Amino acid sequence: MERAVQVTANSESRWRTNLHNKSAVLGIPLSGNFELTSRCNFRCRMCYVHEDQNTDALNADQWIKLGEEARNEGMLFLLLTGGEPLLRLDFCTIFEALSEMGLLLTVNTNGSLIDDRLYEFFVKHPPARLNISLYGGTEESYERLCGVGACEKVKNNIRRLRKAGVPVKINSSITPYNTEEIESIYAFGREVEAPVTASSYMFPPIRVNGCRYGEALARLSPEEAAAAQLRCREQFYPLEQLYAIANGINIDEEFCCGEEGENMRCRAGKSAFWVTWDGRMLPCGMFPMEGFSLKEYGFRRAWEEVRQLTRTVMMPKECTCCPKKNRCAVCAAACFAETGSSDVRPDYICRMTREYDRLLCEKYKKTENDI
Amino acid sequence: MKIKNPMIVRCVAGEHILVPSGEGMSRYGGVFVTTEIGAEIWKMLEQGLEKPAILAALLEEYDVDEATLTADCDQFLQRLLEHGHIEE
Repeated sequence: MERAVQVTANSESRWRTNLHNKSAVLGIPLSGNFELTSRCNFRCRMCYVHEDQNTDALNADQWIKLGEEARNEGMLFLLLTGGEPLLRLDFCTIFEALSEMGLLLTVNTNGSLIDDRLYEFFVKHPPARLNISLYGGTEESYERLCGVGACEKVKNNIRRLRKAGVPVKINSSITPYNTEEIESIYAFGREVEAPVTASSYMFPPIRVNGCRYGEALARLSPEEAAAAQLRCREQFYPLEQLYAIANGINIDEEFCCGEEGENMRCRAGKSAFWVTWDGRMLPCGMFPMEGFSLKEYGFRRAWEEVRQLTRTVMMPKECTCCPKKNRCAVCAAACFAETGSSDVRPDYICRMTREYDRLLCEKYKKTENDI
Repeated sequence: MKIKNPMIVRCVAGEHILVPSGEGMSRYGGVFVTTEIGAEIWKMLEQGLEKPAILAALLEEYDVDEATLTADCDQFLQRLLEHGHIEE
């Protein structure tokens, strides 16, 4: 018999996945991303957002009103990102107003601007999660990659926030400027008991490079990126899991070509949306399109347009039946960024995935002689 | 029994959810997923009602057996207490 009162304190990913699936069917914009600013105090070489011109950015009242409209349509999860959102002097005003609306807030930050005032604020108003980027273990690597030697400042901020019980996740981008730092980034995560997610796949930053598809000056070659990705996974996958994954791979499997491409597989434009710093709605922040102006369309119509658009976006037919597709970083936005079209196979990603499989199998696949 | 850390009642995609808000925002990164009756209990706590009054109101409103409701309500309040959302 169903209980009269059930209660589950729930942060599980399975529950989130189910809610996303339900929302996608019902057309609910469950998860939002607000890009509060394009400005940043860092100059990261791989950044896809940063612009110094920010005159058209929405003001605090507009973000708060947008939050209300989205909440009324069903938004539950909201990521506040940038640029560097903590550069906004009105960040706390926006955050506090949104936190009163019944939203699970996550904040992306480079962690360098958390002074005593912001530290006290986050201790008093802990978001569901504070995602702090950590790009290395030394000032030199920060200077090389971000143009600012902020490493110790960021690490100290993470340490004291964790000590105060604020949930922090460490994000990292692995590029030619910090590949030697992978192990130290993960070691720091273990020290402060914060999960780490590092990626060596860098999108071509077409929002800021004049739509030069496939051009990403600050990334590794596909083969180097694959090796870096394996080093990242070795930091948190148990050995048995690496062996199990490697043994499930048939390295000789051929790439095959489907009859036609599939629709987008991710949540973008189905149960998730992105709003750029100047108020345009996109399926996700990596999507190279103008999007729908919220001033012109209003929230509900912009969301309907984004959903409609998403239904028409097709992935490459080569990816449809590819045996590697569940281990591959390919998505429609990445195809766009790499090739200028969502349905053209991105060579960089294919090479990266093949090399990743090769390296993983070389190191972890058990042969008959090993058994 | 009164509220210590506030939560907002939401109904999203047919699910009743209590979301920690403001200064009570979650340290465990989660929400409470409950039923319509659970959401009603929280709303009555917000109004300052005590457990006997809450149970009486629910028994009048819903077709539910008193013993089951009392046991479930106790468990619900216990969970809220454990997570610091209410205090004695």
